[in-house]
Amino acid sequence: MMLALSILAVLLLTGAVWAMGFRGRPALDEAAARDEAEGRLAGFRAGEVALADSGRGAVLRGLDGSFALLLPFGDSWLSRRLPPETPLDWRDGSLNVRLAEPMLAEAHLPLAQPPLWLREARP
Amino acid sequence: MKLPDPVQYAIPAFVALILLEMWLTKRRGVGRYDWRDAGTSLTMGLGSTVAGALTAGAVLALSLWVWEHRLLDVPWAWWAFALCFVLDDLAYYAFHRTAHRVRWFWASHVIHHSSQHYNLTTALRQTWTGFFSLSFLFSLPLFLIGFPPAMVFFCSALNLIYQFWIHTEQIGRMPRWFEAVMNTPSHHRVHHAVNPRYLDRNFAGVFIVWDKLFGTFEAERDDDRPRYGIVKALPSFNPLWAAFHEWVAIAKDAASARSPRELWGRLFGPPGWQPGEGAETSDVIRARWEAATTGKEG
Ligand SMILES: [Zn+2]
Ligand SMILES: [Zn+2]
Repeated sequence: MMLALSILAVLLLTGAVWAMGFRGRPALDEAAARDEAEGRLAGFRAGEVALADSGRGAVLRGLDGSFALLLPFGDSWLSRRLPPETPLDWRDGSLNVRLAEPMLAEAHLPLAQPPLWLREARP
Repeated sequence: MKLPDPVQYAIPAFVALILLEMWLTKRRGVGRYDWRDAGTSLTMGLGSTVAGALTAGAVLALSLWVWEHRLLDVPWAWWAFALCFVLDDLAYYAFHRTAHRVRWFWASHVIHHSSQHYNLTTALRQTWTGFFSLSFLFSLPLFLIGFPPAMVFFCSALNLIYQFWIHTEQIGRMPRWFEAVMNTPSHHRVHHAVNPRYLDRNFAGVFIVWDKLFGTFEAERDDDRPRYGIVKALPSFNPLWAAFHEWVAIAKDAASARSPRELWGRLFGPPGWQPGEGAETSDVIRARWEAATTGKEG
């Protein structure tokens, strides 16, 4: 009984958060992408930035040649640092990166027109 | 003596305050909420109370057993309650600091830090595996001294309730004297931040004094606004993954350890430790950041 009530309360409260409009899926611009990557990945200094289509993510190249990946996650971003030798595979309008994490084996960023530096970075 | 469980009475207030905070967030544009994140946090909170109820009997039995071997007879007096509350908070500090510095305990505590948000629902994002990680060991000294288990459990419940309201961005700073002695939203925002300056700081439960005493205090700065979460954020809102992900990682690392030393480090070293180069512990991250910033300023 207590458990059923508690489950109901969790659902109602979560529904209230949704109903109040806290369900955004924001977009990044270049400045926000730099700020997010440098703020989240200690020691990363952003160089070039490639924004995903509609700003739904970004890949950045650091001054040291490493990469930062920003993936959309709820109303915020998931950031990962990738070593310089990471293969960034761009195909059919999407950038694909193997991350080999248990819950994130691969990441795909929609990217119709990759900038030149990113084409050059490809293996 | 039978004491009520204060947490049960506090739950309606928790719900009301969450609703109030949501409204303030909307109105003032300060702080953040996300329904997916809040749903995970609330589910974690519910799961944690279920897990706690399942293991309460065992914890109580062990506590009573230790108490039977007590050194002193602490009476049921108001001053004993006050002393118990302070010592329990010290025990919490010891537990919490260990929970951040030893991976075995971190695997259970990481749940509380796994959100990139910082609001009142984050306070309810609690572990499911506290019993398994043996976190109850830290209050055993209180029973050994002679504080009755019911008194200690009552004080820890009050401690837990106190920590609820500090998980908010709606309160900037409390009055100076309060910030000096007590744990506050400002101090605890630092604790939840991944900024290198803030990593592994402010372990206090109720009294921030412990951090100042033991050298782990860091004040929140307006020019370094906290970014919340863990160094490697979870890529999933799945509560089951949030509850067990670090245990899964520990099991994998332990299975592939190549020496007893590595096995020890993987289990009981600091989170992020690995043999040789490439460790990402908070000490390493902080040192790297310090080198970078002094290099820039100098
Ligand atoms: Zn903590
Ligand atoms: Zn907290």
